[in-house]
Amino acid sequence: MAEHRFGDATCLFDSNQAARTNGAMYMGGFVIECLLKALLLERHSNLQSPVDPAKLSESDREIFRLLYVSHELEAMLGFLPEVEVKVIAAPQGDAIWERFQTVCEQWTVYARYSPKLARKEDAQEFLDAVREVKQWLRSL
Amino acid sequence: MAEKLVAEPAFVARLSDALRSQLPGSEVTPEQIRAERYRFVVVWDKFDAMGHPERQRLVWNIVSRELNREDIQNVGMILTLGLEDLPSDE
Repeated sequence: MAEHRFGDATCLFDSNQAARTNGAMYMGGFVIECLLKALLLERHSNLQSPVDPAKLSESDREIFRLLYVSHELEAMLGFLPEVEVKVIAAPQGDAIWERFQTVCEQWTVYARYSPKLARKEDAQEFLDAVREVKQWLRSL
Repeated sequence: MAEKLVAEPAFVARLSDALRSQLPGSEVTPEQIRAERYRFVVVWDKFDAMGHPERQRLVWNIVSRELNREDIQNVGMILTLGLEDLPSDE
């Protein structure tokens, strides 16, 4: 799924239409959302099949909300402490952390809500960061 | 159950001060996400002339100059807003 969304993002970017740069970034952010949700589902297999949220523990209810309602990348990471531990242990941990937070910020603030058109070079840089974070998350 | 009071980690004030001094005229607001993790909202008029990647590079360069590795990984998103990004009063 994440690869499909990344393909969609690069397809929009490669169309070379200025009006599609925000769309490419919007789709690019979904790549990270898909990967984080996959990691959450892997670790909380009780939420993989239909459940009644009212019958879940408080913690599982919050994860359910993040999985099926929310797009809060930063909050998802809060339920993946082992990901943070691996970032801290990695030789390039600071750079990965910066890339992740930069993607979160640009997707949260700019790509989803800004009426301004992103410059092509900005969209390129964003997609490069998404590619890097994607590879890293897939390696976990 | 009594609520536990937790002191703000020292890196929050250190980074806030560094952002304010290196981005003169900026408004910096730290927000706790959870435990020792904080996000920062930086509003600066000069951001209006910059793309988002450039804004992010600028603030994260300050982070890496000012904080050690352990503290860096307690920094969440740094929202970088120009005045044009703020809702108008009208």
